[in-house]
Amino acid sequence: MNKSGLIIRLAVVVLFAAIAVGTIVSQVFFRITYLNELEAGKVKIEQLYKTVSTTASIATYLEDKELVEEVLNGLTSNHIISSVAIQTARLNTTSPDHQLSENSQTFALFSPFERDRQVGSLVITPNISHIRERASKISWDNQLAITIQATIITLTIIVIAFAVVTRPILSIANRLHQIKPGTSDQLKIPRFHQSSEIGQLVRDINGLLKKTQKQFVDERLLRQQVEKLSKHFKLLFENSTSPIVLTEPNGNIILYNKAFVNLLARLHLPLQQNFGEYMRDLFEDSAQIDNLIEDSVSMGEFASGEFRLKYNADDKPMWVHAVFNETVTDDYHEYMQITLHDISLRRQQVEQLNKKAYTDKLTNLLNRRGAEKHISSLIQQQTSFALLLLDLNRFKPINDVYGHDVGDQMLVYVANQLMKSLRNTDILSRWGGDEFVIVLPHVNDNLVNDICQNIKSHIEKPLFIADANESISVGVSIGVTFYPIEKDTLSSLIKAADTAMYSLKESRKSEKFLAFYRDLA
Amino acid sequence: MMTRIIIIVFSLLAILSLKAGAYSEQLVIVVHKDTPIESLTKSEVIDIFMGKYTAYPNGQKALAVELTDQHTLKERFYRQLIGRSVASVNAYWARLKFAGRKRNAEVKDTQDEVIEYLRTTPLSIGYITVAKLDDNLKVVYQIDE
Repeated sequence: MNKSGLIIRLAVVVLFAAIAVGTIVSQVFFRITYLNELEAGKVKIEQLYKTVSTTASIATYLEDKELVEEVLNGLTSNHIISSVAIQTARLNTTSPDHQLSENSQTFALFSPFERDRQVGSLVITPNISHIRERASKISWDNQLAITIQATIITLTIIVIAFAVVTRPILSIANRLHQIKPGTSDQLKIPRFHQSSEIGQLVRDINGLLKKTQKQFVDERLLRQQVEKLSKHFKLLFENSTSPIVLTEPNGNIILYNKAFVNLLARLHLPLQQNFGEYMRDLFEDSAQIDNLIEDSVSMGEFASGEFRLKYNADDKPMWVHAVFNETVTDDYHEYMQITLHDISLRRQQVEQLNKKAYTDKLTNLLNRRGAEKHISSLIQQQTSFALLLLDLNRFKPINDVYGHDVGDQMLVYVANQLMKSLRNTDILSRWGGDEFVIVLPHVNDNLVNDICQNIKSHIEKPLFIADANESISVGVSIGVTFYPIEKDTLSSLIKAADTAMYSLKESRKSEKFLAFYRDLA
Repeated sequence: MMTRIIIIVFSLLAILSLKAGAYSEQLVIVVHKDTPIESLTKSEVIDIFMGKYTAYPNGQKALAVELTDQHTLKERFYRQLIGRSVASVNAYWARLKFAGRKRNAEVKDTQDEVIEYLRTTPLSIGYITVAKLDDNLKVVYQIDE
């Protein structure tokens, strides 16, 4: 049995209480009994005196030794009397071992015939040890009775407590111990405890169990939902055709999907832990990304834009629409989510379309629209430049004599010759017919002169026509105007250059091929 | 003055005449005329008749004479002396008898026999009515009613 079990504790407590109370009660009881017995002894002695008073009176009146002794013997035969003494004028008779004590009682003896004539006295000493013995016997008997009673009550209490309280609690405890939380198991209310505190306890426990079970079920359901959801998310993430990467603020990659791996493979890059902050190293123009991120992400917005990724010279350029999204989790962890949508194909198509729209089909130079776009953008940027309008001399007869095919051949030749004579940054376009517009950014008069000289010498080189077995050549007239010193709109620039160029045609001086607009005035 | 003396004399006469009848029936304790005792106290009388002493205070043996229980005078005597009935007195003697004490008294049937005994026996003592007094007897105690 459990040493600190309820029953043992109860038994020990009740036992000790019984012993303590019993000891105190027996002491008090003994004292009370003793005093009572002492008092009772006094009363009894008085009664005894009354019983013998007549005889004693006669005996002392007559001073008859025999009678006196008869009285003495009669009295001392009582257990409660220790000794007796009878005194008269002439006699002093005592029982053996006569001793006076504080409890001795003295009675005056009068003549039986004269009420006021004292003839002697009777001294009775009670037997204190007998009284004490009696008192102690009585209290012992009582104590025994109390002890038996206490024992019976104790046992009864223990048995009842066990049956009524402990056993139901133990059975509840055992049952509860076996119950697995989360199941629908319930405790049974012990018999006869429907309306007791134990019944209430069981009901409360059952309430708790039910609540726990509900929570378990809810939690399980929730977990299933979360698992399902996360599976879906994983599916979504893994099967996304767009590369998605989650990085720490320092650029360490935490999460990436299959599409990202494929992207790296296409870029011929190994999978690294880090591609720089927000993967900036992947982009061709990292500084552009830096600016974008600085501008938008720091404002707490997401940033997006179309960028070209770094690529090997032999590969096709790769364009992506990148979305940078900075997220902060509930526990204040910062992450950067980067999604890259491959837009290379679209970009290529657009570029091709653009190219078509802005390119002269014959010469592959910019057409007029393309030139206008470039010039407009230069004007927008307020870049100084010189605008040259070229017109071929002696071209119309070629068309007339050799046919349009040869004319076209000539135009292509001129275009190639022009390209050879220009710098990389210069813009070359076929304005229409046999007119070309050339834009030379950041140039001075000398440079314009040099370039124009170069142009002239290249153009005028003859072209051999195999069909006709002939070499033919064209001449050129160039009108020049400067932005923004002279004109600041496209149309006025063209008009100014055109005016300068026509001044040459009108003068008909074949040696002069170059005219500056400013010189006209 | 005269009238006052006359009243006192008449009064005394009246008392004496009234008492005369009763007085003759009064009980007295008498002894033989030669007994050297002139008077006794009530206690001494009781002591002699109740058996405490069998002698006079001077040490001479006292011979008590008693009437039979049937005599009315005996009842009167004990009633007046100790306030007890003859039956009670007899019970007393019966108790003493058990303790080994025997009464030492001469018992007579009539008063005259008592007087005769007293007259003829020296140191004898007994009780009679005043009316029976004569010169051979000496009153030692008179019982008050």
